[in-house]
Amino acid sequence: MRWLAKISLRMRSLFHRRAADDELDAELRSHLERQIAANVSAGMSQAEARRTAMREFGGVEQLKEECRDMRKVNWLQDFAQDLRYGLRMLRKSPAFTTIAVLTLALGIGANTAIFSAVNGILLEPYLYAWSSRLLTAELLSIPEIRTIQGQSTAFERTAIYQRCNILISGVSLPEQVNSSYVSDDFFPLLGVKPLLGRPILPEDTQPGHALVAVLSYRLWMGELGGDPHIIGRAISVDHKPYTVVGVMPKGFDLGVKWGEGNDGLWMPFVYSPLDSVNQGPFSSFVARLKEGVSLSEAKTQLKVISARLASEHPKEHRSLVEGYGMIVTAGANGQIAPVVRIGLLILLGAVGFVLLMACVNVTSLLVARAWTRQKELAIRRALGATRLRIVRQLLSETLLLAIAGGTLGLFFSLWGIRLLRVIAPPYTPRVDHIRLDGNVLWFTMGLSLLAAVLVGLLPALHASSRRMGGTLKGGLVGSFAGVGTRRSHRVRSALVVLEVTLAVIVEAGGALMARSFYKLLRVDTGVRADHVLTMSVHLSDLVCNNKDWGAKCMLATKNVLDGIRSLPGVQRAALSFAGPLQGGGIIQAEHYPGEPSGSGLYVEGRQGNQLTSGAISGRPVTPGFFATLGISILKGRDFEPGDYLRTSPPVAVDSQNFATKPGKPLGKQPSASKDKDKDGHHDLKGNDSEPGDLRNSLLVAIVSRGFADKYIPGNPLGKRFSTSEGNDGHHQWMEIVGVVNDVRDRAVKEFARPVYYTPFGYGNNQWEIMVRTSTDPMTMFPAMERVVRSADNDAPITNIETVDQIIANSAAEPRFQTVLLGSFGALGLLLAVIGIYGVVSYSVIQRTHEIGVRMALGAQRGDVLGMVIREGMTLAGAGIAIGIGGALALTRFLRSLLFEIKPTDPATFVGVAVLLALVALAACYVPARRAMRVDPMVALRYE
Amino acid sequence: MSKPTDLVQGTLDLLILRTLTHEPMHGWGIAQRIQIVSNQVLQVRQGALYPALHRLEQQGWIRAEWGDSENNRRAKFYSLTKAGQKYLQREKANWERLSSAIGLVLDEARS
Repeated sequence: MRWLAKISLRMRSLFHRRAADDELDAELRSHLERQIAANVSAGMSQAEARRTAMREFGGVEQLKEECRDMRKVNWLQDFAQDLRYGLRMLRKSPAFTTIAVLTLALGIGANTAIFSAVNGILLEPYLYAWSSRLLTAELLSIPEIRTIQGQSTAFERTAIYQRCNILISGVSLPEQVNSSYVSDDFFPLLGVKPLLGRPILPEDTQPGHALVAVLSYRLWMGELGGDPHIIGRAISVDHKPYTVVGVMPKGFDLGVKWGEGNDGLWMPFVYSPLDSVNQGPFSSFVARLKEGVSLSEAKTQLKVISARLASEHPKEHRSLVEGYGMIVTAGANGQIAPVVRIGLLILLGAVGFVLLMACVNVTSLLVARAWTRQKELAIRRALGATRLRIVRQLLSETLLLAIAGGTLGLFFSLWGIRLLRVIAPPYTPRVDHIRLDGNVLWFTMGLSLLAAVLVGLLPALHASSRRMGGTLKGGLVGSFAGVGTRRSHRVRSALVVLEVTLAVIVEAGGALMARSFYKLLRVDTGVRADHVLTMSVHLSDLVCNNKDWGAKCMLATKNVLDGIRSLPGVQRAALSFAGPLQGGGIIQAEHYPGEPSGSGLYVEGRQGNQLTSGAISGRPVTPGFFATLGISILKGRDFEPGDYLRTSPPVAVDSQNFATKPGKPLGKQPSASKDKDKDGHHDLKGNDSEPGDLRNSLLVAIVSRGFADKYIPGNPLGKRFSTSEGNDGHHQWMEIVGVVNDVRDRAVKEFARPVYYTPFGYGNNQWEIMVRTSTDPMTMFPAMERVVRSADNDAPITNIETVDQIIANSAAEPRFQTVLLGSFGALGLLLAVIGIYGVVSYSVIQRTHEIGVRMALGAQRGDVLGMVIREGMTLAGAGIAIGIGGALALTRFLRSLLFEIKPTDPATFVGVAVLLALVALAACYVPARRAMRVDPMVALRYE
Repeated sequence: MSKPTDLVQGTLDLLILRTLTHEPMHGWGIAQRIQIVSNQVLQVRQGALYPALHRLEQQGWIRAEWGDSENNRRAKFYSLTKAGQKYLQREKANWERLSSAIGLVLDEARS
């Protein structure tokens, strides 16, 4: 109860100050009266008694003040008074106030916006239970996962999931969605309750059990319209009826979110004897770490186990040997790419520098102002204000500035957040989480307070120092620059140096990003990107099955191509397996250490496997592919319609899906999504699996320039190569009929891989179609869609993009970072100009008298101009030198974001130095001109 | 709540609280009582007394009330709160331990 009494006491002293003071007065008076009475009764005269009592009492006002201090509300009252006073002072100089508040608001607003992105994307907790102890490992085979489960001691619990692309149909449009087969412990491990219905239970994963599915929120809300009675309804998954048993809440997306596909559903992972056979790295597991086991410990353990597997059975664990298997990610948020994380943190760092610059600017303004307030402060000091009291008063002023700046900054940040959401690269995870929430508000508040201290402390300490305060008697302007002036000049000089230093660092980062981005945009992708539409078509099982050896499938494919070619406005069209610039293709041959023969690259007339490292890929394309994409044919010719038909019977080149693995349901195939380039792996084995008919036929190929340069020196035309060697040393040679330009693969950032093209076999059920149009290609899509529908009504069409878009998207992340770092750079430059200009012109005003004297003593105008510029540029030069050093140390954090440019690129650094020197020169020149025009007579009379 | 106090201030607090254990008193009375009980050794200056009283009140050890004193003069009477009594006991024990410890050291130094 003590605190209650205390609070009421404080309240009383605070709000009934008058009453409390009166009481104190009365109390002290009554004490005095008693003392007088006591003195009188001790024998003094009335007057003497009073005098003695008063003497004993001492200073009444001082005593009262001390009592008030004891009540601990004085500081609050002082603070309120300081704030009122501060407000008045700020109102009196609106120009200063506006500039200071705007500067801070820009800095704080930009920081708030960037932090809201960091908070939403990186910091906001995930839905999953124990999310900090979760780990996912992808691209493994089931036997590998079994081994890890058996050998690892780091995990409390693990659950398997297998990603797959499935086709949902019978709802609205057929749609291909990302889904997963999950083991029964998947949902319990993640600890998230379904929004509706139930998760997948152990009995669902028994062989022969009914087909059930748990929907993701997005699939439920999207395709299925958020039907509240969805539980128990059947939906068609790859043309098989699945019963919906549950719906997971929004944000639960492990196993159904990757790449650019839409979230789908979870189906039970049924253990089958087939799983003991290594089917390649298509499975993943999510694990919860044991308490006390760190992520790095678990990762190390996984590395040890996989290294053992790779060395013991290199053939079964090719992906581990090659190092692309097993991608381990902390948490269940495997979707946040390191480049996103690093990018965001770098942006936060850069924007922090901008805020520092803003603070430096406001600080130098305040230092200048303190100089004009010397007299006021001297008076306060003379009246008995302690240094602490003056510092407190000045700090309350900057607190007001910072609060105003912070509030305005919040408004700026609202605008910034909206902008961020728009310009964020596509597929950035959790973009919808970028918003102002409690965390962000706390951050902004903290930042404003920090800014207040940063901005205010130095000027306050400086202004309240004894030497500054000693000018009461000297008047405002001494005959020559006094001690205080020189001191404040030194402080402001240091601030200019700091400002330029910060500017160089921010500028260097922005310039590096801009140059890297410029290089990225000018990369020769090898294609003519304009007016080309690409899309993937996945013919349905009704059309493509193995009943008629794919004849129906071939016909449908041909019909689509011919139909699209005959559309008005279509100039050219071609098919390929895997589109351009999207990775994929078919990895035809790779180098496996310790594997003497078999898969590789063999050139006729040369001994042995030519493929000593890396991989080459083959891509089947139809005639016209190169012309459609504008890939130039450097030597030889394009494919001709006869190339394919002449060389192989229709059955020979079959797709990976139906001929090679009959009996295995299509949907169960944990199919490699094509945009993940590593899993193009289920080889188009057609060539070597059906050798009988092909032995003596002629296969032709077209190779990329990189391929030719690397493996087939000299004139490659007419030379032959193969990608596998039979046990008897027999080769299925492919004759090179053409050489084409290299095409960047997947992301523009990545180098072109050596690639060869083969004639497209029409037996595939999934392919890309590329169409060059004479008008905007997107407007042509409906007509093309009709052509596809007429061939196969159930075929989902996905990845509908123009090549321009593909290229733009692959540069989206760098563009985002460049735009932001560039704007921070521009902002920094602006702040630097204002800062330098402000300080130099202020010092010119301060030194008007001195300049007048110099001129009276014979200095020429040019001398004065030179002096001011020299002084300004000395400071700028120091700042540039320090800044270059700092930037050299800091830009290495940019390394992973830069394209074809080193973080210490000398040209960029020289450029930044020159730019800042020029800016500083311009900022000094204007006040220097003013100094030059000083009239000595006026200046001397100035006093 | 408790602040580092120097010996003098802490001692004055202790004296005031001890003095108030008998009955509520006003400031002047407290000063007089301390002076008399200590055989005129301890003279409490007003400059120290009133800030101390206000501080003790703020901390909740004592409570203040206006009341009529002898010959109908209004005065502010201070009395000990429960928390104040506990605090006094604690501080008294501390003080005794401290002073006996100091005594021991001084005696030892002498011998």
